[in-house]
Amino acid sequence: MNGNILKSLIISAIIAVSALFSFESDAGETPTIQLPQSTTLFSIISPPDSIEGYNRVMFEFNDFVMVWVFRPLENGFSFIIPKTGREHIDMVVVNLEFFIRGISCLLEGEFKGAWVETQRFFINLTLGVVGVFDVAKDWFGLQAYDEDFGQAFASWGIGPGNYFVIPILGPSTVRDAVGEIFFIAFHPITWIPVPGLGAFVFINRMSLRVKSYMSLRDPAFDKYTSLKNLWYLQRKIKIDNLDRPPCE
Amino acid sequence: MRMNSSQSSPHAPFTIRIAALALAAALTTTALPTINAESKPLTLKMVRMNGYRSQDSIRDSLRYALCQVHDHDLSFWAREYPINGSFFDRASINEAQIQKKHPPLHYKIWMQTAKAPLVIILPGMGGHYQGAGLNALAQTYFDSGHSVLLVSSSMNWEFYVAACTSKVPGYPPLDAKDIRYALRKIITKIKNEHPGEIISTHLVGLSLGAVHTLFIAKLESESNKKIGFKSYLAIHPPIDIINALTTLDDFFAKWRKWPKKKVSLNIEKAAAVYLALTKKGLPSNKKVNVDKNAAEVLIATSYRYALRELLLAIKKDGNDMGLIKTPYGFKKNDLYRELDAFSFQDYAEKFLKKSIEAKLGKSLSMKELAENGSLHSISPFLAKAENVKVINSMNDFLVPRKKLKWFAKTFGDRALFFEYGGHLGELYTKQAKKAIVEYLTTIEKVK
Repeated sequence: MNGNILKSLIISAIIAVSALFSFESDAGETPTIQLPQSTTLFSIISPPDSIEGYNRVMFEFNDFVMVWVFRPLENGFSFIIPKTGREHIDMVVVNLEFFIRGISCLLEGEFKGAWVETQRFFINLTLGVVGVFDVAKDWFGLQAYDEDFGQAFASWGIGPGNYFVIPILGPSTVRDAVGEIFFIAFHPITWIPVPGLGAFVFINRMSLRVKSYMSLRDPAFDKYTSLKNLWYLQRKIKIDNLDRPPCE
Repeated sequence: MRMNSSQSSPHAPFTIRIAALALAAALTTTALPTINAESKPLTLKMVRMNGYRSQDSIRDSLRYALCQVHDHDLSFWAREYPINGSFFDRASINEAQIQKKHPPLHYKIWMQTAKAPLVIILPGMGGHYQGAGLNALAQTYFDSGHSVLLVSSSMNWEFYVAACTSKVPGYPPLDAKDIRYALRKIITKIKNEHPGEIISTHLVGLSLGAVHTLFIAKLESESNKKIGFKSYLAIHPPIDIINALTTLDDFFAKWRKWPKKKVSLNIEKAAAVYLALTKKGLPSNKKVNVDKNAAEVLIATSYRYALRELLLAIKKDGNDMGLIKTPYGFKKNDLYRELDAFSFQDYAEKFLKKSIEAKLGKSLSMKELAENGSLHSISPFLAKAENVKVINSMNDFLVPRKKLKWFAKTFGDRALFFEYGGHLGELYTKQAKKAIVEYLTTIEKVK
């Protein structure tokens, strides 16, 4: 497929999904002291899941891929490239993603974040040997602003929408799934015409995540619900920027 | 509470002054507070926690998050080794068939390369053998030369489906029998696989697992067919587990007093702090920066989550005695809505009581159920059991301060108290690790 056609398709998809997307601002909600007795804490801290049937089927598929494709791949990968090597390869990609984080910061009105991300990119590109080392953090104390398009949309007051499991990519919400489309469209690897590069980058990243996935998956009886709630909690922590200063 | 103190006169002979100084230094690590129990004062053996910035029992308890497996002392090559680089992954996860027609029970084991004592660790309520804190404790023992075995809690779904003989778990005298039966099978399997490699077996329990440890000690003392545990260590056992769990209901209910818009945010804030503790640790001079009420709700939520999973497993096995109306199916949102309404109090009164009455063939009041399931019911045995030791903190929210005297009275010198830590929140400290390991190594040497 011609690269330009692919790009046009991605941009068309972005526009189409954006048009379908429902804005759910909760800015006007009045806080109430008492909630109905039937309301449970879990129902408040869990995402709305009206397409549970689809999501469970897709979760089973993704889980199968994770356990039977990515886990063996990770085992094989470990013999070829040790974990530290794979981490540094991923750091190069993370450095290239500064563009996405920077734009997301701008969309959120976090100009300082955009500036820090730009500094980080150039420092790591040069002193950090194309991003293999995060010297911006280690030497200059510049922490990454881990922002993305989903977080930018949330900062505009767009609600998460329904919980939505994306094939292969995993848990998301409707809002964040749209953010993912932007992520892929703006990702530098999408625009580098090297066959298989995107697949290598993706598999490398998944190989670094598979162990933590298994450690969260194995203890759960209902793995779907457990991972859904955990993912959603972590996502909300990120959106509310609560993952920054940990202690007094 | 009165603390012992030591003073030396400036005119005392040099040797006396040296002795007094040594005593004063010793007292910075071990102080002996006394509490009034009935007629005569009882002495608690307390370990001072210098450098521990205690806040309260709740926020101290959150420091359990700091119990994490660490691999930083591994060499670069060991860390990069493709298989089993991390301590967490270096164990074998095996299975044993405990009950016929049930799925096998999984367990995690780290074997020393040479002959070594085996330490079995039982987790707290609903705990899984892959739990981070449990694995960190396993590392503490492994690093001190023990082989270590982990199994899931009897109130975890995995143990329930594999090894529980009651319709519902949660009654320590019966759960202890199931755990002991399962451990016997697992130990036999391990001894067959590693002949002559285990020189002795020790049982250690955390929280509810500590209660089980003490009940198993009692069962062993009465049995003709012993597993042969050399020692027992109960870390933070609640005296009365059923009432302790209702304390968690009180914590959990606090979210209802929050404004609607704050509910989610408060939980997120507390969870964010907890996650940060697990990933980044906490400098010794820092406090856990979280609202106390939010921390209470977060702690209770994690236990309620375990209860929810257990109820789901009970429903799936058809052992809910008709108390859960929504059918078990592929989609579970409606079922969860019903399960979420059950508190620990409901679980004890509706599920546990009914199940125990059916198993024992007699009716029991809630008071009897709680009393028979509490440590009070085995206190005469515990008072005499020389190879049983208890570790607790002075501010465990599951053991009210006035009940600490029960430990002092029952265990005497065999009860050790940490000055702070809430519920399990001191276990990451060097002092606690040292005390936990020292007990077993002392027993090994004495015997």
